[in-house]
Parts: sequence; structure tokens; C-alpha cells
Amino acid sequence: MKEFTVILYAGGNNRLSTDLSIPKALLPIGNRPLIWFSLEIIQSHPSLASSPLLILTSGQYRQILDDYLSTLNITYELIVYRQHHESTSDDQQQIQDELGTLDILRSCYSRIRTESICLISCDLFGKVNLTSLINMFRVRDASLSMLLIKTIIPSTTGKETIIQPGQKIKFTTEPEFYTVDQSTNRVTSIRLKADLDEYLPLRQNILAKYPRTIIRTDLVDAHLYLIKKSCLDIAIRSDYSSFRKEFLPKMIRQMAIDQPLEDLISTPANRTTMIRQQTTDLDDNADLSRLLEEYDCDNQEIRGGCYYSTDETQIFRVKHVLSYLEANRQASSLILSYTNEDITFKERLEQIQISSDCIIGDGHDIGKKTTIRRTIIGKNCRIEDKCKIINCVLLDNVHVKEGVTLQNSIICSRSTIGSKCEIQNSIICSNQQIEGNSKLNGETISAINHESEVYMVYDDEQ
Amino acid sequence: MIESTDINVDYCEEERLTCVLVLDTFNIYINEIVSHISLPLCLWPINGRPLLDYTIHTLIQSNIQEIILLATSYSNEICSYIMNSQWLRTYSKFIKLIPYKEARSLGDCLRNLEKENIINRNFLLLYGNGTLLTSEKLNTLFSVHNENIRRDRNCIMTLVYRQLNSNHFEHPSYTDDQHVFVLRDNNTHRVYDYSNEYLDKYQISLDLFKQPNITMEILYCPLDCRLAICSPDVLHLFQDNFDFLTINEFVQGVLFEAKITSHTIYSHLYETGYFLSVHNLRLYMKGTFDILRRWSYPLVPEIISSMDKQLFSIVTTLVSSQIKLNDSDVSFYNISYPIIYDKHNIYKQGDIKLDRLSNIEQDVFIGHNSQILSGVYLRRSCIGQNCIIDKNTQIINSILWNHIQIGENCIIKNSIICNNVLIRNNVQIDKECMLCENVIIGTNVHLNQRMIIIASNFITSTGIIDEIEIIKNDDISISSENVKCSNSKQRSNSTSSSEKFINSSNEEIIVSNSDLVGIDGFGKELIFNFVHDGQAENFEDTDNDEDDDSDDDDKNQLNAFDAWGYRIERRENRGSSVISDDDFQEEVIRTLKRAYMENLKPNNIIDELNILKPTYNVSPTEFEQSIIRAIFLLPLENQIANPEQLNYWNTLKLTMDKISQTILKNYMKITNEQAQMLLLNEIDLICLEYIQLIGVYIANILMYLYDNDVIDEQLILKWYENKQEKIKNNQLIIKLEEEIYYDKLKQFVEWLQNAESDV
Repeated sequence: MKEFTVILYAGGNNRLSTDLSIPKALLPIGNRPLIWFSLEIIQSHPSLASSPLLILTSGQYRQILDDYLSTLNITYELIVYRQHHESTSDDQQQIQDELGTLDILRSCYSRIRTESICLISCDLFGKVNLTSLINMFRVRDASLSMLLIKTIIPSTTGKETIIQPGQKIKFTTEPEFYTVDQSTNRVTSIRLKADLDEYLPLRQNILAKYPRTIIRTDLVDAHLYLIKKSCLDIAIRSDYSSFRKEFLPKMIRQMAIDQPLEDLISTPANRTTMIRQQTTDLDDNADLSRLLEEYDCDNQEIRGGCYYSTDETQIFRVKHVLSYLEANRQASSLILSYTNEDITFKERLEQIQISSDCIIGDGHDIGKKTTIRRTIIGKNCRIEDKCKIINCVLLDNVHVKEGVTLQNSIICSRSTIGSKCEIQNSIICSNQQIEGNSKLNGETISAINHESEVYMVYDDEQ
Repeated sequence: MIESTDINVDYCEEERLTCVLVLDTFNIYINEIVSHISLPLCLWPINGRPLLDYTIHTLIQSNIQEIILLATSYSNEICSYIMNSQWLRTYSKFIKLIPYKEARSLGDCLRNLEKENIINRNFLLLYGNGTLLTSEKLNTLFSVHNENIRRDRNCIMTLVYRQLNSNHFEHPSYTDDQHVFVLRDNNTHRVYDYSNEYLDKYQISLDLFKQPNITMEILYCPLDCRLAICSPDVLHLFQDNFDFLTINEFVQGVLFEAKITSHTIYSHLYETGYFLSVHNLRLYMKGTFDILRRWSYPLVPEIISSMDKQLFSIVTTLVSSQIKLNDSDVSFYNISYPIIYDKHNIYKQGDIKLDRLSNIEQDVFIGHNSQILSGVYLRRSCIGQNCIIDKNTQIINSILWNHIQIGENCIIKNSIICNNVLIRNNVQIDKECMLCENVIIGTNVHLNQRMIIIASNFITSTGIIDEIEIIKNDDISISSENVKCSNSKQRSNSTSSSEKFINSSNEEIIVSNSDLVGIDGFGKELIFNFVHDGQAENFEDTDNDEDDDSDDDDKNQLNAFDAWGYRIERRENRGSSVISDDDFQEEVIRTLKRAYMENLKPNNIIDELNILKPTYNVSPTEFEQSIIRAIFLLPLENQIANPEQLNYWNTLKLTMDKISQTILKNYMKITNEQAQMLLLNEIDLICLEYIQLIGVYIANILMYLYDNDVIDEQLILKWYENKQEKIKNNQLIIKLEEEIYYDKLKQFVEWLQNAESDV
């Protein structure tokens, strides 16, 4: 039997462009969809690469994702989850009533047939070395291992300060307090700022067990977990809807104070089901009881504790505009390291200045006397003469007319920039026509003139 | 500029490294025991040498050039030790003794040191009895502190800890008095929070995390080395703040005022190396055995004694040694015998007599001129000089000082036995016991509780102590002869001393507790009288001013740990459940009494009573009941009851006129039926309780209350009817002596009804 089941969560909505036909998972970075990078992470470790792969997605993206994935040489299983509670069909309520990760996991629970699960979110970007994490998971017989990454807010590259393109939206990341035992890498408590008032409480009985603990605020969750099935069993039976925000902190607390995890199971009724493994009324999965019999959840097994591993290399989650730009900048070197193909633009064209750090997709048509630096350009883009494009991301089928200056901007697919425009620090959404001679600085142009539209706000549910 | 000053500082540092040792634990329990041994804890022997020797040895090895000893009540003993030790002859310039007998706390000592005005640079402070056993060289700490100062000019102190791994509560080096919670910056090691309280939850202010690039680290109960590197400012701060008694208070005070004074405190955590600050009995034993087992290497007996020899030879060659050792005085600190280190960590000092059939297993030190007879089993123990261990005795985990005789077939575990103790045959000691000087344990005695046994109780009176000293000297002179034959004499001597005591001291008759030590034994358990006194005080003096209370708290904090380092639970006594009700009522009576005597305004009294309510945590009904009771019991108080008017009613009337009626009106509003009923019921209860004293005046009381509109007449009638009904239904049975009360009540009610009908 395989050790892991890999569950790749590829459900998030793409909020970068208003073109909802592209899910976040297929958002191009260096002309490759985001999910490609996650799949590379999975493939990079042999024990995960050979594991069954479940990809979770919502109904509306199923087809488009399937189309893309079938071009890759991997075996996978697509699982469609209900995105919202069925009772609420009203659009406005949908946002609040979105299902949490645990709800989503419940829908694929019946497919899990292995001892451990690797849960990974598709927006993780970077060269992740999973070996240390997996080894720690195995050696310590951990209940859960999680990858934590340093919060790198790429505010400066060299001397230039990076200005966030588009309308100014503040991404206030909520600090998370990870109390860890440094010698063993054991996580002893997780606190979210939102749950605290003025003080961070530390329990004496936990301190007594881990006399030298460190509170780290410089780490964020990479949304990559290795979990024992037995733990997930309990998570599935709890009331909680979010895995990370609700279940995980409670689970860690229970483990740190040596309390049984079964306390987290929502009602006594459910607990008996858990132990007796007879009824099937938990979910509409008919084969649940059969599975439970197959994988007996022994109470003693859930004693492994929770460990973390940090990676010193630059890893981050693509969750807002800044990180999207940053990911694009790093894409070429990352792809090189994975597949050994150099995708930077090598052709030298006459009268066109293209620096070596650019990526330009197929079917390009670049006019003369154009300068392009530090820019990623998608497929079938047409750039006319005398343009100057610096530090930009252009998606597919963009048409840039004559004499345009673009700086630090994102131009989404099928947009047209009129001649002699000067665009700085802006986001142009898909299918937009920018008239000639316009000057934009720090603006967001989208089809729906929706002021409060939040672009690529990270969906934290994982 | 800065560089040059830095160099200057460094130059100074290299010039002279100073270390200050505070030679007192300031633990009253230990000091009480010490008073029965007349040897301060810092001079207790560890493997044949006084504890302080080890510390001074380490300091000299660490190139500390100036050692300042702050001695307290036992400065004479410490002084004579220093005078006789080889240290003074070798490093006479470096060792300085500052006696300060009145010191009651660490703060006192340091304030005294500040007055001496001899410290003007950074210094090491050893504040846990001044006795730290360590294998590390401490001079590196100065550079740590200087580095901290270089980064942060406001740094005044660096606290030193040794990391313990998990399970530290079971760690033998950990005792309850080391409980500490330290919050520090992981990178700079600056201390942000410090507490030695036991809490279920420790809280960290989120403001601390707002600083950029900060990672907090929590040290929970690291091994407290009782060691700190201080800047001279520390002494000034102690001088400025008289309320700083301990380092804890100092650290907390400095951190609390960090925003105003901007002083900072840093910490240093050793991850390796041996550290043990010996400041209670448990750690004293632990230190002894650790040294036997060579954890503290190179601080082990034979190395130190060989080094002493070198020193000694240097001294004798350099200084024509005119100082002749007075053998009887210094025999305790005798260093002249060579120590042989055998396998299984067995140390043999000088000439010893070992029987072939004795079983000396491991980790044992045997002092000069001791005899171990056949069948004796020794494990992890330290036997002093001139001891005799008789046949088939087992000694495990124990420390024996000098001149001790132990009989046959004894089992002694986990105990400390001081000089000149005699243990007869078949004695069994299981738990941590301490036998003080001259105790005799009789045949077949079994001690299975942790206790301290003393030969006689001389506590404070100086005259008695003098006498004891004479006796002690006698003992030593006798015992320095052949021990075997001195035994009988010694015994007689000590018994005679006890007789002397009975004659001389008229405070308390000293009776050897024969239940405890046997008929042929001599000694009694040491009971810490002052503890009980203190608790009684706490009980009674709750009404004292707040200053006194805080003093009590301080005292409690200082004395929160017993001699073995265990936490003493006091909470139960201070708990609210038992006392709250009665106490609160007493408090109310006192308040009223004071108000009455001092003619306070009723409104002020009401305010005061309201303030009392939350502090005593009483329910509203209890509160009102207490007030009613207090008002009616007030006339019974001594000072109010007028000798001329012995009549209860007259006094009550006086108090009522003056204060009480206003208070009743305030709490028992005439419109509030519930409160009125409560008042009547409560009066009823009080009257029945004091039937002769108060009950007979019920008519007068109700009349008065009615006249002054405290009670509504309708409610009196209603209440009376209820009562009558209860009597009819046999729910209330009137006793014979209560009839007078009911008669009076009936009279009053009838009058009331008539008066009403008249109107």
C-alpha cells in the first residue's frame, strides 16, 4: 500500500482578472499555470510522486482543469466539491457561507485509502525540499507535519522599491504566533491574532513540558501538511469547518497537554460511531463504514505530536499581486531547476532590445525599436514599434500598440493598449481596450467598475 | 570617542575582575537550622571541605582578582574560616570580608555594599548563599555582559541560567525555589518579562511583538545559577529603592519601570557545563553527590586538594609561615591529608580503617581516621573524619560530618548527620532527616518522616548560646581524642548539658522526645515556632493597615520555601471559604466601632462598608445579614459598652442614635419588603441567640425602629403573623427560656395593633 495520498487543493477563484473562466490554478506564471509548479513540488519527492493524487476543484473549473491536466503525463483523480452550502443560493450569502477546508475534505474523505495524507495547496510557489519534512514525519511518527515559511514581503529588489500595481489595497496579513520547541521542532501552540485580545496566553502545563520555547511571528503557514489518517478521522468528525483556523490549533493544544483528541469530536453520538464504527449517518458516503472497518482508528496512534519544518529558500504563496509579480520574476530560474529547460527568450532580433531575463511566449510579434526588460509576455502577443516595457507581466493575446510605455504593470489577456499610452503601476484586466495617449498610474481597469473588488486576496481557507 | 572609552573600559576590566558573594540564603528555615549547628550553610562540609572553598577555588581559577564576601549573622564563623584558610595566605589582597550582621535580606547586604563605595565597575554577583559549584570559567561572563552593554548602553544586569531539558520538575538540580518564568528576545537575550509566580497561564503582551524582527523565547524554570553580572548601577538602584529585598523584586521592579528609567536586563543561558547553586539542604546533598560522581570535574576532591598543596608549598616557601594552625579549630577544614581516588568513585582521605568484609559500592568519600567495620554497606555517601560505622550498617545517600558513631544494623538513607551525633543499634532512617549536633538516636528507633532533630532548643538568647559554645568546645576537645572511648563521655556530656539547660533556661523545659528518639536517645524535633506565630498573626491582623499587609506578603514571599527547597503552601490558610463570613462580620463590627468612637459621619461609614464588600467576596444577602448582626452586636463590644450603663438597650440606643439607624435605613429601605423581612428575621435570630442579653429588649428595639421609621408597622405585623402561623403548625417550637422573648414580642405587637386602631 502506498504511504501517502496527495490531495491538491486547486479550487480557489482567480481574482486577478475578472475573467472567471480561468481558475487560480491555471493562472499563468512564466507562461505556465500555477498548478504546474505545485505538481512539480509533488513530483520532486519520490514517495509523493508515486502516490495517488486527488485534485480538488469546484464544478465550474472542472472541465478546463481536466483539459489542461490531461496534457501532462500524470495520473490524477479530479474531485468536484460543492463550493457552497446547498441551502444558500443567494449570491450575497455565498461569500460568507463558503465551505471551509474541512468541509471540502469531507467530500473526498472516502477516497483516502492510505495511512497518511499530504495536503497541499496549489498556490505554493518555490523550490520546496520536502525530504526533511517527510523524514521528520516518518522519524517522529508525527501526527502532523507542517511546512512553515518565512514571511518575505518582497518590498525591495536591490535598490528599487517595488510599488504594488493597481489600486492600493492593503494586505494586512494577520500575525500568527507559533510557539515551538526549537530543539525538537515541535509546535506546541498556534494562536491567531484574531483570537487574542491584548495578551498571548501560555499555559503552564505546556511550558513545563517544553521549558525552552520560542514564539515565532516571522513564519506563515505554507499550507502544506502531512497528516496521519487517524488525525483526519477526528477532524472529519468534528464540528469545525476550517482545518487551519479552527481544527489545527485545537488539535495541537490537545496534544501538548496530553488530552485525547477524541474530545474534539463534535457530539458524543459521533464519538461512539467513531469507536464502534457502525453507523453511516455522518456523511452521505455509503462506503464510509466499510472504510472505517478497514482502517481502524486506534486511539494510541494519535500521539505523534505536531512538528514543523522551515525552508530557508524563497518559498511563498501566490496570493496577492505582489507575490504574483515576484513569482513571475523567479519563474524562469525555477523552471530551469525543475526541468532543465531554459525558457528565457534567446532569440536576438534586430533593432529590438530584449534583456536576457525576459520570457516571451510563442507567436510573438514584436515591432522595431522596442525595449523589453524584466518582463514576462504570454502567447500570441503583438507589440508594435517603439514600445518600452519594463518590469511587467503580459498575459496571452495582448496587443500593445505603437509607442507605449509600460512599467511595473500587469496586463491581462486579450487587452489592447492604445498607442502612446503611458502606464505605470497599474493592472489592466482582460478584454480591456485602453485608448491612445492615456496615462495611467496606480489604477486598476476592469470591466465591472466595482470599486470594492478585491484582487487576488488570498483565500486563506486551507 | 566611543572606541577610546570602550578600550578604557576593557582595560579596567582586565585590571580587576570582582566577584561579590552574599553568604546567606535569607531563608528563615535554614537559618533556624543553622542556629542549632552554629555553622552557616556556606561552610558546611562537602567531601571534607567547606562549601565555600569550592566556589572560591572556581573564582580563582576564573582569574577573578577580587572577591568580596558579604557575611551576615555568622560573620564571625566566616571570618575565622577565612583567617584560617589557605586563601587568605595566598591571595590576601583579593579577599575582602564585609560583615553586616543586621542584614535581613539581599537588598540590605547590597545597600551596605553600596555605602562601602568600593565597587565602581562591573561585578559578578553570587546571591544564592554565595556558593555556586561550577565547572565553567566565569570570567567569560564579563565579556558577555560587556557585549550586551556595547549593544545596549542601558543594560545593567545579565542574569545567568543553565538550560535544563524537559522534565525539569523531576530534575534533581531543580527545587521549587528556582521556579521562574523568563521571557526574552531570542537574538539579543534581553529580558522582557520575569516572574516567579506559579500561574496556570502566563500572558505576554502583544505589544512586544510589534517591534520588527523580534522572536520571543520563553525560558520556563531553567536552572537558576543565582549568578548575575551587574553594573555598578545595580547597587545604586538598590540604594534608591528600599523595597527591593530580593533579586526577583529588583528584576521585576526594573522591568516594570523600564519605560521610565530605560534600564534593561539581559540573560545568558549556558547550554553545557555543570552549575549548581547550593542554597538549600536538598541542593547541598545534590552538590555533595555530584562532586563525588565527578559531574563537576575539574571540581573534584583529589584535584582540589592537590592544588591546595601546590598553593600551600608556594605559601610556605614565600611566607615564612608563622601562622600556626590551631588544630582543634581547623580540624574541620583540614586539608593536609591526601585524598586517594579509587575506581567506582571512592575517595579515601588520609588514614582510614576499612574492614575486609565491608562493602563500599560506589560514590563514597571516607574522611581521615574513620573506621568502617565489617558488613557495612556504603553507597553514594560522604563520611567525615573520625567516624565509626559499626557492623552491618547500611548508609545510602547520606552525608555524615565528623566525629559520628553509628551502631550496628542501622539503615540510614537520604540524611544529613552533623558533628558528634551518636546513633545506636538497629536505627532506621528512611526519609530526608537532618540530625543536628550532639543528637543521640536510641536503639530500635525508626524515623520515617522528613524532620530535623536537634539536641536542645537554644534559639535566640545570647547567654544560652555562649554556654552552648563552651559545651561544644568541650565536646570537640574530647572527641579529638580517641573517638571510641570518648563516646560514653560525650554522651554523658551532652546529657549534662541538657540538664544545665533545664536549670538555666526558664523559658521552656527541654524534654528529649523519647517517643521520637527512643528512651536512650537525646533530641527533639525542631519545630519552626515563628511559622505558626506568623500564621496566627495573619489570622488576626487582617484589619491592620495596608502597609502591614504588604509586609506580611513580603515576609511570605521571602519564606515561601522550606529548608529543603520545597514550596510551603500557605494558600489554604488564606483561602476565603472558611473565614469570609465571620471575618467579614468582624470587620464590619470593627468599622462600626471605629466610626462610633471617632464620631464619623454615617455616609462615610456606608461608603467604607461598600468598599469592604468586594474585598471579602460576600453575596449581597450575606452582606446585609452581616451588617444587621454587626449593628446589634456592636453594643456588646468592650469599649462601647459603658460600665455605668450596663444595660444593653441603653448602649444600643446610643449607637442607634449616632450611626446605626442611618445605616439600617440605607440598606434596609422601608419600601423594600424583602429587605425589611430580612431585617426582622435577623433581629429575631439575634434575639434568640442572646436571649438574656438582647431578647428581653425586643419590644424596645422594635419600638425604636418603628418610631424612627426604620421598619414599616405593616411589615412587623405581617412578619409576626407568619411567625405565629409557624408556631401553630409546630414548625417553630418555643423553648422554655425563649418564652420571655415571645411574651415581649406579643406585648409589642398587641400595642402596635391597638395604636393602629386608635389612629
